[in-house]
Amino acid sequence: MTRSIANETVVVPVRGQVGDLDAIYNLNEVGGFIWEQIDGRKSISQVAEAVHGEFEVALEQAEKETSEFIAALEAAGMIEPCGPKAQGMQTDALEA
Amino acid sequence: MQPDALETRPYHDFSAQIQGRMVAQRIPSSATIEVTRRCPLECAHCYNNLAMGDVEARRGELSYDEHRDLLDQIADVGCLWILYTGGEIFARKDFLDIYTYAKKKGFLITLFTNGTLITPRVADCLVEWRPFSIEITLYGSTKETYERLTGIPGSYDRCLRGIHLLLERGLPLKLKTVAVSINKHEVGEMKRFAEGLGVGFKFDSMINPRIDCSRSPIGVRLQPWEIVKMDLEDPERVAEWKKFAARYNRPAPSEQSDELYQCGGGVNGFAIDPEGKMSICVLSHFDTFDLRRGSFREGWDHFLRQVRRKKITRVTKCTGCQIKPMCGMCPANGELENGDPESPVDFLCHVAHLRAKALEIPVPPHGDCEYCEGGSSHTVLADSLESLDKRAAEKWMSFTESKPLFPILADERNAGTGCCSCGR
Repeated sequence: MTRSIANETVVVPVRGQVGDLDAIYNLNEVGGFIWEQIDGRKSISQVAEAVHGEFEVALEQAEKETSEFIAALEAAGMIEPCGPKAQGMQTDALEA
Repeated sequence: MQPDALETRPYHDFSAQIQGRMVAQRIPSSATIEVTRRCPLECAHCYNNLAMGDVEARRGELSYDEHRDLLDQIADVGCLWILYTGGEIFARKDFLDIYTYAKKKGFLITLFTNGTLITPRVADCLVEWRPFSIEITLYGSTKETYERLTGIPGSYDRCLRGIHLLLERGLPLKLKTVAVSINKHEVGEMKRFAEGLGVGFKFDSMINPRIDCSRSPIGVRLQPWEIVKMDLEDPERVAEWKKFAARYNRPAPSEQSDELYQCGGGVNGFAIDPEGKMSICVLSHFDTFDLRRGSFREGWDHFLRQVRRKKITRVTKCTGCQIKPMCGMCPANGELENGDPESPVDFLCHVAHLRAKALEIPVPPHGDCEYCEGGSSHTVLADSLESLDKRAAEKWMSFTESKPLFPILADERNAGTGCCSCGR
């Protein structure tokens, strides 16, 4: 989950076999917004559309940067794809 | 879009940076919560333990629902770190319920425990809801010494079982001890035991009177020369003290701070006792705010702010003392030892002066101090130095035996059924 602490959004590991807490992940405003969209139901495309609407950036740019950000979250073990796989990550729902 | 939507920082960098901002903004970031004072052990040195069967104590403790409400409140105001302590935290049957609720709220949680009530069920829960850190206090490296201090037969084996259960699950365990007259000769072995397991170890020698005003713990407190002897036998400790002194011992400024409290209590830290009384720290009980009668926000914004702003009312030898950082004197110690937060604690003064002398750290004059040259207790200091010299050949911290201690753990490690050092 995330905590807003002293004007920072921090990802705090809550459950399961996370490693010892030797690193802390901070999310900026956009990162925090994307994190909030990750609910186990939305696809990456849907999250990118929400980013496009919220931050008034081109849809293509929103899709590219959302995908990059989500890939970084996944690489850090903070989220994982869930739901039926259809077209790879592009349509996977995501779960924090 | 903004760059660095996801920034990764080493935990220690994050902690140092955010703590600085939290102090500047007076955000209550660090809670110490005593969930109970009941404990299955009867340690001679303990400052607050009560019997497991103390019905009155149990009735007075915050309920699970009250803890949940408290956690909701402190999460809202930005608290990030919680230290759960006791008594013995697992003496409460509902502690894991409180703990998992706190985990779900996103706190970074450290647990202080004696380990004797850790069962497979408890350890499995901690795997699922992993704490930031767990610290178990050892009371001896042998059953005889351990149980002489705890007063409870069988407690040694139960503690080892607890350690084993945590380590085999790879949980973030550290060990520590309180060095007292009963176990001082086994501190070195306890350290080696921890090193053998691959976990951190620390010890503390400072003992306070009990918070109920009993001075019984003083009966097992080490003599000042014994405390300093343990420092001197550990090169790492000597280096740390010298580094600490070089960094923090400073000439007294021309204008002294007139604040009574110099610590983080009331700035970013606070303590809550089992009955919901909030104070500057767990040792200080002169000024408390009843969280059953008011909200955390009220207690923090108004009551504790006023406590933290208290001024000293008189000049003492501590006021201008340049080795105060090596001493540990604080208002809570004054409260417990003398019933007066501003009254210097003779024992701490003795230890600080002896430590400085032994480590050849200068002690500039600081008023009417008994332990400085010409003072009434200067001869006492000389006697302590003589005791240090006489007993220098004895090595309490050295390791005279090569056989493994704690055979339950050592056997399993040797048998290759899982590494007790790394837990894998």
